[in-house]
Amino acid sequence: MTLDDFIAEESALCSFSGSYNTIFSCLNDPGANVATITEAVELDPTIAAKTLKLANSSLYGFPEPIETLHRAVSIIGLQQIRQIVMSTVVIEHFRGLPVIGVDMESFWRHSLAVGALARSIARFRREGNIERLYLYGLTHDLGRLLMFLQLAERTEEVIGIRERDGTLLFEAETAFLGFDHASIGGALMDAWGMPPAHVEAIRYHHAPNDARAFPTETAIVHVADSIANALRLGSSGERFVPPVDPDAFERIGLEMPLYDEITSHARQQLDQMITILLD
Amino acid sequence: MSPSHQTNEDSLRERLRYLEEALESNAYAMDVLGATTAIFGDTNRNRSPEQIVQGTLESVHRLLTTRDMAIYILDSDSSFNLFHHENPDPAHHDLADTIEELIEEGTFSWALHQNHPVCLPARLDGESVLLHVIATRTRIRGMFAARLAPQELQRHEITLSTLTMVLFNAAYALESAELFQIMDRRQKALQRITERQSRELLHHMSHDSLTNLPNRMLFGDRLAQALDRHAGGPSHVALMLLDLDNFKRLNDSLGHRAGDELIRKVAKDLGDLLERARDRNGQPFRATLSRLGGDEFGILVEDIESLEGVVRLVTDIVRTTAVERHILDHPVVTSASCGIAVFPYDGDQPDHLLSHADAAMNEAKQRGRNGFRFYTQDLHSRTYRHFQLENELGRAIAEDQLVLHYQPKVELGSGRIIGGEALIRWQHPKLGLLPPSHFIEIAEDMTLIEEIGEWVLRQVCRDLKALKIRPDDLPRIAVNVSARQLRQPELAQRFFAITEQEGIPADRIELELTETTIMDDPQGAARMFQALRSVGILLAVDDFGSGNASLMQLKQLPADTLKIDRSFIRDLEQGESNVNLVRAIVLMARTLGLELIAEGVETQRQADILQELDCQHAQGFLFSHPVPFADWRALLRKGTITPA
Repeated sequence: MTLDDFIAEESALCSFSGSYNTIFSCLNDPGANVATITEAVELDPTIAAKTLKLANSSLYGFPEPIETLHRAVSIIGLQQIRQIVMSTVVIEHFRGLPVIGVDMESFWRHSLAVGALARSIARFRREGNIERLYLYGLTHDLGRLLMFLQLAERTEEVIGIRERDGTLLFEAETAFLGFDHASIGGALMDAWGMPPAHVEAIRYHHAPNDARAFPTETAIVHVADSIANALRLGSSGERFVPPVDPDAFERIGLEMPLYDEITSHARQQLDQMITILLD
Repeated sequence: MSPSHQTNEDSLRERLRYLEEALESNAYAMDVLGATTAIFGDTNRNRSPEQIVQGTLESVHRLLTTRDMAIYILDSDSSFNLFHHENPDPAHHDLADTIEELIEEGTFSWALHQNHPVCLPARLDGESVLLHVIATRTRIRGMFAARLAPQELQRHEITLSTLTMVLFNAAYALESAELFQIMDRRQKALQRITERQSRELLHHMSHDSLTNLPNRMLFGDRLAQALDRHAGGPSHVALMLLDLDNFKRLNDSLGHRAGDELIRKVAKDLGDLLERARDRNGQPFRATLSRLGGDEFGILVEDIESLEGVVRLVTDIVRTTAVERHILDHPVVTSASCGIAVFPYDGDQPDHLLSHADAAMNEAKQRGRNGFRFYTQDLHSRTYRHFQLENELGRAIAEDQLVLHYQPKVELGSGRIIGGEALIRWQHPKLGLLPPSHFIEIAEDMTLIEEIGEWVLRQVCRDLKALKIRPDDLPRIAVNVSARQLRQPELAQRFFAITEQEGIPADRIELELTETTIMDDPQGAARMFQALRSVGILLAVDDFGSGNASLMQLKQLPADTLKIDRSFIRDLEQGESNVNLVRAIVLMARTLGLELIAEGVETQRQADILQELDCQHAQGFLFSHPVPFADWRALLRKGTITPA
């Protein structure tokens, strides 16, 4: 199987339909303003409700209740709201799909944890748009979901390799397919018209040194993934903790002791996010 | 595999239009961002926070149409201060008030942690308040706030991203400005430290570490400076070298620590002494004390007017040094030997003075230590004698060394003594009796002349009183007045006061002024004569004929007597023309109604000629040399003098 087979074969998986599609296109439109985004999100009551709940959660710590989506959009900011809505859409889109070989609950816990950790790292780095990193983290393993969906029963063989060789799952994937879930995820993001930083962060999150244009974003996702695995915050099928690349760690530029704070900050938010997004 | 599957032409056209717009606004945003380089606080010109904020607001203006905007800056106490407010409008709902409310609600502090523009609904007519933190990666520097009209809220995203970048730049600019400031402060502090350390270093280099006195290097420098300052001036510089006697023995017996302590104590005593010491006028000495090394001290004294002061000072120094001190619980008696060289007599180069002072010090040591020696021992040196006399003259009055001698004036025919001239003499303790030519010039230089003049007059009065004769029969005494005294404005009053005090009628005193002195300042002389005349003191023109007074000037002078200059008298025996000259003077004096007296009469022949010429009064060796008061009194008792 080639990489293209995974992306093209079942377009329903890789593209959105109905209101999701409208919301998604609106979010990808750089000319969108508060009004157009609000309108689009309001098309889907579930997404709208979850967005509003997230806006009111301690993630944003706004001192007063935010009652309307319009207000939420203007308060949280145009850029940031995109990623929140987008992550909600992605989760809703993939939640219902039948996947063999992975516990969906655990998979999303892991994805949300990586998202929260990446967001937290970005926050401590005082990045301008931290929700961007949240989305990267959240979607970093979508490729694996797609892979397992496509492979169906053959998923067992990949898992078999992992069990037999005692390797990391992504290495087993490469052994089986010649490429891993990160490549599939990167290709999917590309197909969705996501910005190059997003594509690269997903594609190289197991090989951060190969990220040429956006090494920092990639490094953040890479480190967040390892932390989430080490803390057993859900799982996307990895048995072992993928080792942290020292160069990537170095590139983020935060001292080791800070990671305690980063982690506890992320954990506080994670529970709320799980409640809001996965209930 | 686009999310959108619309393919019709309209939508493509729509898309194209949109993209063109987006491209345009991107280009505009790039333009604004490019201009933000101006706000970087990295040059002297734009380093002030005011400049940075101004530049930031200019950039923001190009991005947003605001009703009002403000910038808050975090100060060093971590509180936010309104730093700049674009359109304050206290009458209307004010932005600053709104921000105050937001701060109280906590929204403000929440917004500080949002790295993006936050639009909050304002309390008023649908307008929004936009907050955006001004922060670098590591530090919050402030907050940008603006009031926006409702429609302004629908901004394209690119605008808000650009705002974020502008404010991010502003934060870095503020940070860099602050860092520059810190750097500047550090640099200044460093400079201060460097300066202080250089000063200290210089001090160490130029001072002795044991006593903290100037060392040989600085002393040499001060000496050279002093010589420069005093070159050609009237005052002098004394250089003293002081060496402790037997210091080496103390060092050997009690150790170097004792030696050091002794040096320290001596240095302190010498310093105290120099601070306390006063010269004759009660002024402190301008002195530099230095430790030249070992047990040798150098003392530089400037502005010296009299050697006597130096002698007193050095005597004090030697005495102060030679006391018993307790050094490490041992009583130690030290004495010092001191050598003195005086600029300019003993040399005009620092090296010469130092070596001469050193030679003098060695001599003092050889002469049995605990004493001082001057380098110059050559008393024939004119300048030195002058200097020395000067010092001694200062004491002469106080120590009663001045005396008056009297030379009688006689009537030629009868030999009757009609009066006398008081002549000052200095009974010098070493040089003997000195005539005025030896010291009056010095006295005039030193301004002692007034004092001496008054002393003379007072002494004359006292001598007259001592004669115990009826006032009417008192002889008239002539007193010499110098040009310098003539310039004293109060002379007449002071002289009169003295005669009053001593109870002598003023008309018994005759002041003699030389013709030359009068002619140097005829108006002054006339004024003075007038003043003296008005109090009754008589006046004589001394050395008449030696100057060049015109008849006219002579007529205007209220003088009583003309004293024919001795040169005319000397030449009287040399020929008829000289006789005629004196005859003319006699005639003139008679015409002007002046008394006449010849001085310097030494032979009987001269006396005879004078008598022939009808000059009846004379004074000279023929009759008597100037004599001390006792002899003078004897002469007066006798009443007449017959030439020998």
